[in-house]
Amino acid sequence: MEDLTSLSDNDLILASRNGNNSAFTVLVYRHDRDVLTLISHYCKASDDAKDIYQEVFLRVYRGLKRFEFRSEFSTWLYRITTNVCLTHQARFKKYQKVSISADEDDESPRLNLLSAEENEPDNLIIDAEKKGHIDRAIDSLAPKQKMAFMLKNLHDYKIKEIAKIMECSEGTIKKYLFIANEKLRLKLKTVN
Amino acid sequence: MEHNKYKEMLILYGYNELEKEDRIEFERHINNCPSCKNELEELQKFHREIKNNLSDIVDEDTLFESRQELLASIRLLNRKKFSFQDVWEFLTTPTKSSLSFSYSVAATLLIFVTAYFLLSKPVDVTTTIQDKHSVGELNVSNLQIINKDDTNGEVEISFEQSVPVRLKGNINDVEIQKVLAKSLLDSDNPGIRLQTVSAIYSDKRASTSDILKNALLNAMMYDNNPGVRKVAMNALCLIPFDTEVRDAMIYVLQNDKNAGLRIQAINCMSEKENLKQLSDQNTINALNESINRDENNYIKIQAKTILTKISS
Repeated sequence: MEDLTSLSDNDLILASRNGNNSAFTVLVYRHDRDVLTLISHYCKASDDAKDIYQEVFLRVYRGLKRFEFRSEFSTWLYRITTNVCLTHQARFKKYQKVSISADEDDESPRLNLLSAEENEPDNLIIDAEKKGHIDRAIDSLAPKQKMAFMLKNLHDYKIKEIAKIMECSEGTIKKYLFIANEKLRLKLKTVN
Repeated sequence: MEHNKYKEMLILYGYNELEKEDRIEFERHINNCPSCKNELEELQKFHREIKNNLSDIVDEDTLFESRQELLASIRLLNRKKFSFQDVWEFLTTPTKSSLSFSYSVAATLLIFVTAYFLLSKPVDVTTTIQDKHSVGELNVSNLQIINKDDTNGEVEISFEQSVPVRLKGNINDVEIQKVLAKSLLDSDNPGIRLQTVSAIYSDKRASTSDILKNALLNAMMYDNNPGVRKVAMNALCLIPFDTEVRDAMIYVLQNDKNAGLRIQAINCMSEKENLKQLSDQNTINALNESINRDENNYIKIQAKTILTKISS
């Protein structure tokens, strides 16, 4: 019998389609840590993160039969994750009566405290307090800017792949990345 | 203006996303521009810091609980899906032995006859009531009065009727095993599920088809009744310890809240003839996780023992 962990994503998908649940479990365990990392930047409450995790992987499970191997499994997985996260964020923001558009959420109330000084160089941010500042700065980005930034900086996806995941043009992704980098660097310059 | 152009290229260069020609041009520029060179270094430092900060956000408990909840949800989905698939296979898959095929044909005919009664007879109330012998052999449930006319005594009712099927064959017969697998996965009564597994494995002549093995693996990992999970594990301990069984045992070891079942799983894994299946990295990681996370000392000791045996 074949060791499932040595199989490629595509082989695991085929095995899952044939009713091998262990193959699906291996597929999930291979990717879910990264997916949960991404999700955790969209909702801090662990219960919400668990709900999104469920929704993502149940959509994957139900959709396996329709997967046509035209893209990498991970691209498809992140596309689903992106959609679920952005929908969740939109619901959450709507509930809080805050706009999710790129232009309107430029200034997060929490981050106004951090934006007083602008002319200092970037600093090494190594302690927990600084990590908190980074988290809050990333949270202040518009959802799509944040997603593009996370996929690039955390998962090292190429811009072309991010465009596929987020279903928009490469130019749009570049724009998101430019804005996200500028905003974050500006905000984090003040953190020592 | 020229300088601003390079500022725009900076981020793409930092991400290694510039086309070759642009990259060469940019590198030529930064060699002569201390300002851009300095900004590039700061940007790269910024990206490193961001990446270090983003990478360690996952809470292990959240991940663990999420996995458990997901697998439980899939188990529920599977039970519904498996039921449909199994009935379909039962109706459509011809088998090699003529005896088995006869059972398939008989079962198919029976289902068609039942469907005919279900679809056509409820309207013809008179016939149903007069044919007492036929009705007597059926189980009637969910009876509802649709219409009742007191002037002429007419009544319209609807109900569900099912007929018991008796199937006789060898314990190793695929059709028998399909029915048993279906019962194990679909029955709401844990007593019936227990009885199903016990019936098979009280007979040492029983062999396991893939369909029954999958049903047992499902039951051992996902059945909500610990007794059913236990007998399913007993059964699986008797069949060859392949990678599917091993992965299922690891699943129990990592996820089952019942310490007795985790102990049984690790005992099964520690059998001398099973050790050769445990040398892959995934299993070693799982055993190490048990040593670090499991609250039961016996399991920790057994996990250490297995790891020692594997490495020696």
